[in-house]
Amino acid sequence: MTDEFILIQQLKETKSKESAFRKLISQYKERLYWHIRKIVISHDDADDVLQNTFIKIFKNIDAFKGDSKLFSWMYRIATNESITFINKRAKERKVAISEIHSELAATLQSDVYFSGDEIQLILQKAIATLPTKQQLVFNMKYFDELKYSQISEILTTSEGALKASYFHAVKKIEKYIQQNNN
Amino acid sequence: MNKELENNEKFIHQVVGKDTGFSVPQNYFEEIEDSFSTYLFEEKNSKKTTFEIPNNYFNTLEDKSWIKY
Repeated sequence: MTDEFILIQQLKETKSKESAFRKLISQYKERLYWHIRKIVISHDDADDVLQNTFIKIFKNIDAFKGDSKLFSWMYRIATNESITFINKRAKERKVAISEIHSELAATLQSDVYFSGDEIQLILQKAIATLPTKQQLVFNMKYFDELKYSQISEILTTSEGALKASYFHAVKKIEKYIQQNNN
Repeated sequence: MNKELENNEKFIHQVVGKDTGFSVPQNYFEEIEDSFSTYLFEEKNSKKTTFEIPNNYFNTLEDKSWIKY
């Protein structure tokens, strides 16, 4: 019996659910946070989305069938919550999602929780120009160093399509950096 | 495609590295679990009061003799 299996069983038992949930948060909080942060950019927004993600995990753990890894399932929830957040903001502002991405990247310059240099800022702006799917694949492959098989499980997209997305993303980012880096 | 991808990736890595530049407030990750303790407490303890009052209590309150004084 793996540790993951035991944790899942504990999460589904009323008596042990709370302590198991605390263990889950302790184990996965950073990985989920940084995944969300790379999508929503702002720390405050990432904090909100992370809370929503853990609440959703807590409420829906009984529905987890074990047909994927627990982490892939949670990562998928985090991804969907982040995308919902961005989409909601775009709808409220009545602008395209791409505009929200660009605005978020532009705010980094004055963001207290961005300690990157000029080139890292350019990279975030480059990522913001990509379609949502390419952004996700790039972040998960380049920064998180996930395997295509893992990304496929999370995004429920074929490995072939992911490889194509990544290829296009990397090409566009390189071009953007070359054009904007003095 | 593979060679081209490799070169593109290498360029990005050489110029930018693997750091996003994002940071968090001090102690942020240590405090996350505390915020969930609050959530778990609220989940366990309903906010609904268990106090009851007689029927029509509020509707007849103005008629109470001690209020008229």
